[in-house]
Parts: sequence; C-alpha cells; structure tokens
Amino acid sequence: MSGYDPRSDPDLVKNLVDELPLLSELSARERNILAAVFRLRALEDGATLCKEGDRGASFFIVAKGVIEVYKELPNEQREKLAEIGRNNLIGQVALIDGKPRSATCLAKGSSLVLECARDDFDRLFQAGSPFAFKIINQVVIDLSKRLREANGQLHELYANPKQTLLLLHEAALNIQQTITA
Amino acid sequence: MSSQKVDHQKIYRAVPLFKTLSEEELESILAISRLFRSPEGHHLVEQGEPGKGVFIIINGAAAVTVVDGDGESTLLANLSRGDAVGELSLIDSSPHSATVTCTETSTVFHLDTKAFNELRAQHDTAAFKVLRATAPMICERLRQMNDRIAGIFANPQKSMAEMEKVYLRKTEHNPFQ
Repeated sequence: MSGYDPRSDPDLVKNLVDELPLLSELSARERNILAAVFRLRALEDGATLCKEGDRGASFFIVAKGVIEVYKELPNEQREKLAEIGRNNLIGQVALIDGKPRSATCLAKGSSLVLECARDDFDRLFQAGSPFAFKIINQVVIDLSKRLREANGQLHELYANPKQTLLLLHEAALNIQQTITA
Repeated sequence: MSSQKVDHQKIYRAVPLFKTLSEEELESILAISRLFRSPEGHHLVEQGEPGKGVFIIINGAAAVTVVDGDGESTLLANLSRGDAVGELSLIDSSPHSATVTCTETSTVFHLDTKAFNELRAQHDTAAFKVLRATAPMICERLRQMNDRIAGIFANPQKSMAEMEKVYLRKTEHNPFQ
C-alpha cells in the first residue's frame, strides 16, 4: 500500500497483539493493557532493531517479518547467528541482567516488532500480569536449557580428551593463520 | 513465636531466591516447604535422580560432589549456613547434576519441586518471584561456563598440555581404552 505508515495506524498494535499466538491465552483485558504498553517498531529491510553493546532496557516480540541476529566481528564484519520469525522473543535476557545487547538485530524484509520496556515489564510483573509470568517462565526455561548445554559441552571436553586435543590443534592452527595473515 | 523461628526467618531473608518476597509471599512459600534434621552422611540429593527442589542449609554443613564416567569423585563445593542448592530443579524437573551429602548433623529447609509447580500453576506471585530470582544466578553461571569453555580454546598450547594429562589419567585407569 503506497503512503501507508504503520506508525500512524492506531489500531495496528491492538490487532498485532490480538493475532499473536504467544498472547492468545491472555484475556481481552490483559491484551488491551499490553497494546497500551507496547511500542511499535516498523522496520524497513535491513533496518536496525538494536546494536550489540547498546544498553538493554527492553525486549522485543516479532509480530511480522523476520529479524536477523548478528555477532559483530573485528574489521567491520558480521557473522549471522540466527533468524527470528513471528511470535518469537528477542533480547529477553535484558529483563534479567540489564546488560548490554550481546548481538545486533536487523530486519530481513519489512518487519513489525513490538517493544516492551523493562520498567513497564517490571510493573506488569509486580501487578501479577499473566503475560509477565509467561515471559519469565519462558526466559528461565531457555536459560536453564542453555546452562545445561554449556555444562554438557565442558563435560564432553574433559570426557573425550582425544577429541578435545584434535579441536585444540585446529584452534592453534587458526590462531597461527590469523597472526601470519 | 520462638526465638529459633525468628532466627530461621533471618536466614530465609538472606537467601537470594527469597529476597524479593513480601512477608505474605514468603509465608506462602514456607507453607509448602518443610524443615528437617538430616544426619551426617545423608544424601540430600543424588546425582542423576529427578529434580527434588531447593535445599537450604539452616544449620550444619554439606558437601557437593560429582562422579564422572570412570567413577572418580570430585568435590565441587562445601555448603554452610544459608547456602542453597537445587535452584535449577525448580524450573524444569531435570535430574540433579551432583550429589549433596551432609557432612555433619544438619537442619535443612526443603522447597519441593512438585509443591512449587502447583503454586506456579495457580499463577501465584510468590512462585514467579522465586522463579525470576533464579534467572540472574543462571545467567551468572552460564557466563562463567562460557568463559571457561572460551578460555580452553583461547590458549590451545596450554590446554593441550592439560588435556594430555587428562588423557593419560584416563588410560591409566583403563589401559585398553
């Protein structure tokens, strides 16, 4: 649609909230509250949602389109880590530690993202919001899964020293190549 | 209220897991918890068994150990008054990753995973505050773990020497490996 600016559509956030499966179990009243709390981010293809190192004072829900997650490398390069589609969370660990963003996120195609500020989230949580409980539930489950994976990875390195020695030889070669390059 | 109970309250208050709870919320957690005496040598949890919940040492001491595939036991930590273990088992019911054994007769607080999950299913605020309080701990442990893994590969020459020792120790145990 030419000349259409999603930011000037007052019902858009409400419609996005109503249509997200992530929020479908919530009551109509709760969804109204969220529609008032969320801020809409309308992104053109390639636009930046957040940058690695930025202060993490919010998290995001992808409502339309796809967001690409990149790790910044030295010499202005980027490595793509993941693609996050509709109905998924981004940057939610900021709710826990408030540490800087660990990755850069860019829109792939034109995308709509709902942003929830950490302060607003804390207020929802204190008020016993089912949405806030659901998000916290998901965040701690994801985190504990990641911790178990990291534990397993470290355990593996010591349980199979032969395999680890091969990996270390590779790492040593890579470091040498970087130095000579 | 006995002076002993007041003393316990002080310990609960100091546990990071319960720090954000109001009086009332702490009461609702205490209502589903129990306090018991554990003799020396008693295993509070055993490595590999399904998640039993959080244990807090109120009085006494305990040791956290892991046994690897070769039956070798490693001491991970010594616990004393106010220390907690098993926070992760509140989140999912995955097995305990270590064994916790009382090293003297101890008074122990236990918040059971099942009872906690019932509270969580009722969307109880206290349960979600406890759950949220586990998150920074997990983040911190995750960061430490990732640093350790990255550290191994940051200095491959040094790590190779260490891995050769690990390899030798393993083959000594089982020369046919």
